[in-house]
Amino acid sequence: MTKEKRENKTAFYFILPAIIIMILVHLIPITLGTYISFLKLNASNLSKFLKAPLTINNFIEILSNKHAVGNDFLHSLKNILIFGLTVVPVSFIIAYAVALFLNQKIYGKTFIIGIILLPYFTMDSVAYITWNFLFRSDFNILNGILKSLGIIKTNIIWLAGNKTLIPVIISTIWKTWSFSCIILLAGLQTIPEDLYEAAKIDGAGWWKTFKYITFPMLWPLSKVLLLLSSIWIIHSYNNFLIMTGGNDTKHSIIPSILITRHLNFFLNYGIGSAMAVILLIIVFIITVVLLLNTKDKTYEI
Amino acid sequence: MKSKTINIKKITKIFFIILILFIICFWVLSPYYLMIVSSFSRSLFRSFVSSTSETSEWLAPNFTLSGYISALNNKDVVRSFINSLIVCSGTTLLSISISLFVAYALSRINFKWKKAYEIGLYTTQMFPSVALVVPFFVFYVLVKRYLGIPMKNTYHGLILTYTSFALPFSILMMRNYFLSIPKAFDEQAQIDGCSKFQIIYRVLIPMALPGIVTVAIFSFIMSWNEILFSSLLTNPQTLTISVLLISPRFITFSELFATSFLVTIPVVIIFTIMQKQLVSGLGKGIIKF
Repeated sequence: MTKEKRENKTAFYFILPAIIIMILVHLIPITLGTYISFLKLNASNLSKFLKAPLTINNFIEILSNKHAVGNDFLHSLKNILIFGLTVVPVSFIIAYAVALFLNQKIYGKTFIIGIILLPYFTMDSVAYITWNFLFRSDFNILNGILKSLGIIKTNIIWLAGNKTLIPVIISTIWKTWSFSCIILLAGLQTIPEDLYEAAKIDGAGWWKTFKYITFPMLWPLSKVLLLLSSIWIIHSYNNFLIMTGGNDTKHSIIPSILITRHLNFFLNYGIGSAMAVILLIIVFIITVVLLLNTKDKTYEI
Repeated sequence: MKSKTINIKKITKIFFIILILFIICFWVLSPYYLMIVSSFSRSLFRSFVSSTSETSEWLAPNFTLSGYISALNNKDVVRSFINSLIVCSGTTLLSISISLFVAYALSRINFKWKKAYEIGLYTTQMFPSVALVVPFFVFYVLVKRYLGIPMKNTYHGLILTYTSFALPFSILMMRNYFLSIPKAFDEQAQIDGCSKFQIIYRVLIPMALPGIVTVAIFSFIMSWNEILFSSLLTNPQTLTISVLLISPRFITFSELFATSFLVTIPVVIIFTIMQKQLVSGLGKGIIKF
């Protein structure tokens, strides 16, 4: 047996468990789900699962404005787009600023990093229950604070109607920025010190140093982080479920909630799976962008 | 004169640093403040829906421990907390042990289809779990019917599910961390007569400890947070705490927040101790994604 063959065999044994698990829980279910999305499958004909005729009606229904389902789905896509376009940049900017701030010599840095990591270590349910409590209109905690500061005059209903996205955005930023911050901080620490010294000798100020050294050096990592957080935004489920308490209107519906609703309550397996397939395609496009952008680019100078 | 301006500059700088630190702490800590105050509040213990709509009387000093007492006496809370711990530690252990070997193969051995496998990993990592709900359900029913292994309402079903979600990210992180360890160490160990398993156990694991801690924390937090699959694949006996907290089983807010606080504390303490390793692990793990 040649060395190459032996190596191949060892590698095969090492990755075998992961391959088995992935085939079992990703490949088979995804294939099954794609197949179901082409069926008119609901609770009444679930038993005739394999005999149901193939149809493309599900996709037509969820992507046209005329059907109620399609209307909901398009609204949910719009909402998740607005949500993502606010949460991702804002939490990235906060994380970036704090990471830059913490990258200097500060007394008690470890302690501050510990505080920053708290939201990441807190369970989703706990975090969003607390935020939900803060925004609730039957306790009026936030409204009370804003009133006493003179910012608003009448109580605002945050968690229903057209303002629902705002509380969810704020709480999600609170929950997600700390992880980005730690990653950016770790990235900042890998930038060689001599670059800054050279800039200092050349007489570059703070802004020039940031513009010509820090930002470009951190850009590959920032790009990965931005794309990863966009994908995690599409995955978001817990924040909307808990913050809105399950009563979503068209102002706060998002694809993952809509899909689970169709699957669990309406038992419209075909429709739900078709939505999931569309979501998969969107995520897949972002993944391709991510892969093309990070291809063969190493972090060294 | 000059020393005086420098002094003023220094003082302003310190002032701004303290101000920024204060803002960060306020922004991060205020929900915890709300949670802790509410958990000790007597008025929140009495009524679930407050009758006071204008001023919030829960802020008044009406300290009580009833919330904590009833949370600790609640059998559901204790049971589901233990369930969560079992499921999350199972997931963590399984995903560490699998990803160690896969990451070793990806970082040290050149094999056919390596690139394809890596792209597969990237792609599976991106799948929204909601797309897997129905297929999983159907698949687990089929496993029960044809193989006779119960998957729903069991710990191993949930552990397997969560591991599969945590694996791609864990493997990629671990691979990147392994890549940052010079190959000279392996070669030296090989010269000293170590087999591949021994290289992993004796050389790589001690050196890759921050990477392992990062993967552990990531997998633990992922399964700790998960709600969707936990609510579908469990019954009251195997329910996890994240689902219990949002179920309508709590009678008072005070009890709810007391439970939240009790659940948060141990995890936060353990992970804060590991914080240094996490930061260095993330630094080397995510950079070459």
